[in-house]
Amino acid sequence: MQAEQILTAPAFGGTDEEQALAAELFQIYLAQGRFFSDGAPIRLSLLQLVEAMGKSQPRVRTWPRRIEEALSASPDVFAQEGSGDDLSFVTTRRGVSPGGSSGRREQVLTARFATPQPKRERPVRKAPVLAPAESIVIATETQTPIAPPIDTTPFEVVSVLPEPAPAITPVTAQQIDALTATDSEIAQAIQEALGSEAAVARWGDQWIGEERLQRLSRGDLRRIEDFIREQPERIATDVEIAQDVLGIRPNAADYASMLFAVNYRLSREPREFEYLGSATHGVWSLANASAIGTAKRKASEIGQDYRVLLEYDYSAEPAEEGLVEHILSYYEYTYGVLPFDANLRSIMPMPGFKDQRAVRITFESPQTGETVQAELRFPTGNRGGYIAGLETFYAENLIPGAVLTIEKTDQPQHYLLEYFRVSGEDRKLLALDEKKGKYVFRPTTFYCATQDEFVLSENRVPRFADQKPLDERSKRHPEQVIAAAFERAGENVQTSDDPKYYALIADLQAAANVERPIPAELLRDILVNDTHPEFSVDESTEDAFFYTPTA
Amino acid sequence: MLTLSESDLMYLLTLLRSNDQPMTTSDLVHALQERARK
Repeated sequence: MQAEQILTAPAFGGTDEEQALAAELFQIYLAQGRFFSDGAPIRLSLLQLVEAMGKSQPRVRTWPRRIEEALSASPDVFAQEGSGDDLSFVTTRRGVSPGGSSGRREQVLTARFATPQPKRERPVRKAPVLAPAESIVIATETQTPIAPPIDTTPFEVVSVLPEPAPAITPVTAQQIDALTATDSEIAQAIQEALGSEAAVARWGDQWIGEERLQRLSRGDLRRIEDFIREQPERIATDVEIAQDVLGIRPNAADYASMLFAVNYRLSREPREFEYLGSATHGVWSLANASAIGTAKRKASEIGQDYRVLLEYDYSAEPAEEGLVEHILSYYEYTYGVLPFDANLRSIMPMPGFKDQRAVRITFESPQTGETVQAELRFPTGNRGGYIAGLETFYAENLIPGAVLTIEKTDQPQHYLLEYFRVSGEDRKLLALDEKKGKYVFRPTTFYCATQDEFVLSENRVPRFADQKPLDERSKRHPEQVIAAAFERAGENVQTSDDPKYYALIADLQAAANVERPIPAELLRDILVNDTHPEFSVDESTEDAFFYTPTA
Repeated sequence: MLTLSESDLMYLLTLLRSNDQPMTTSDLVHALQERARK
């Protein structure tokens, strides 16, 4: 930036010789004022300038006259001050004479403090006078030219009357009336308005004036960090932090606001702490703690796989309040995950803070008596949400196709994960031989109840044997995954040279969900939709489809 | 987008600044409704 400014030489006046000398002297000014702001005056006396020039050409005795003439010839660049021995010239880094200010800075901080400006008058806000039906104001972004002038106001308030449609979609702001609006409308407006107020602290669904919240010292933060590090799971609740570290008693008058303060203040230290609690119960871990999840696939890739949930997020009929039934897919079994879909969202906790990454949850299995630590990862911009951390539990107790129930409990962030135990059953089930990178069928004894349509046994899908998993690029295209599912789980009803595969939707769903999550609604959409002519409906049989590979 | 009037917003800010205990969104909704009725 500075180099650019120095290269832009000002226009000097006078003869060619005077101009050349002025340019040379200007460089001395730039060197002298290299740390000055662009508009600050740089003052050098004639004697100083003579001395500077004399260093390069000491024998020239006419420097005083020549310098004075050269600088006087450029009054727009150099301002003259004093006379005789006190003669000096002033300019700025911009190459503009400070002008009538005689080189002195008008805007001096001390002077501004000493002579404060009168209090500014606030413009009187006029209430918008609108017809009853149009008690709406629109903040319209004005259409700006390519290089908008700096001082123009980018927003203006206009009434919503018939006008030419603006090029940019307007943001409509509807002011609510607390007498007529519903509770949820008022709540929405409150969240919208207070959410952007720096003076208000929010945690979950609670609000308080920011200055009302107790602050934590650096020492407090250090002790909290040590405390969390000492915990077996490297997490601590807000209650533990408040009581054990800060010494706040549960019967203290400000206990509720102290818990709020712990959560809010720690949330302002994202380099040290990460919030893993819900909107009502604070849980903290250290920011650099290792996340729960599989080592087989990156968390970001699983999030990408579940991107479909952002679009296909239908809720099935709930079995009962607070309970969700789920059939485990091969993909979920492999990576130890569950989809954060509409069903699970109905029983899972809400985040405590905006942009929260995850909530720590626990699953208790009455069948095995163990408690499993898991993490609910919230959806982000282009990644779907999911629950991670069940890989070992699945591998030890379940198979793909197992029927699970997940039930909310009275304890926050704690769930019952149940399955039906049955007497042992032996089958050859689909598995991935990781050394060979191929699907195989392995003899397996399992003790959980299953939905047979989703159990990938050798009898049902024999063509999976020796198949390689799809590459990442193919997996990104659900229609390619479904085509592979036809070839692996369907039946070729024509010749091998001119194949046409036939399959039932249940088989396709089980086979497609080996590679990636494909919700039933997405599967059906692709099979029925005209945009994929390679798939067609079998009109004679319900939920049966054809796939004709294109050349 | 639903918004509060400036008067309602100022009222809530004053309420929150003067209260030692956290308030829920539901508390604030009731506070606004009470104020509108008066």
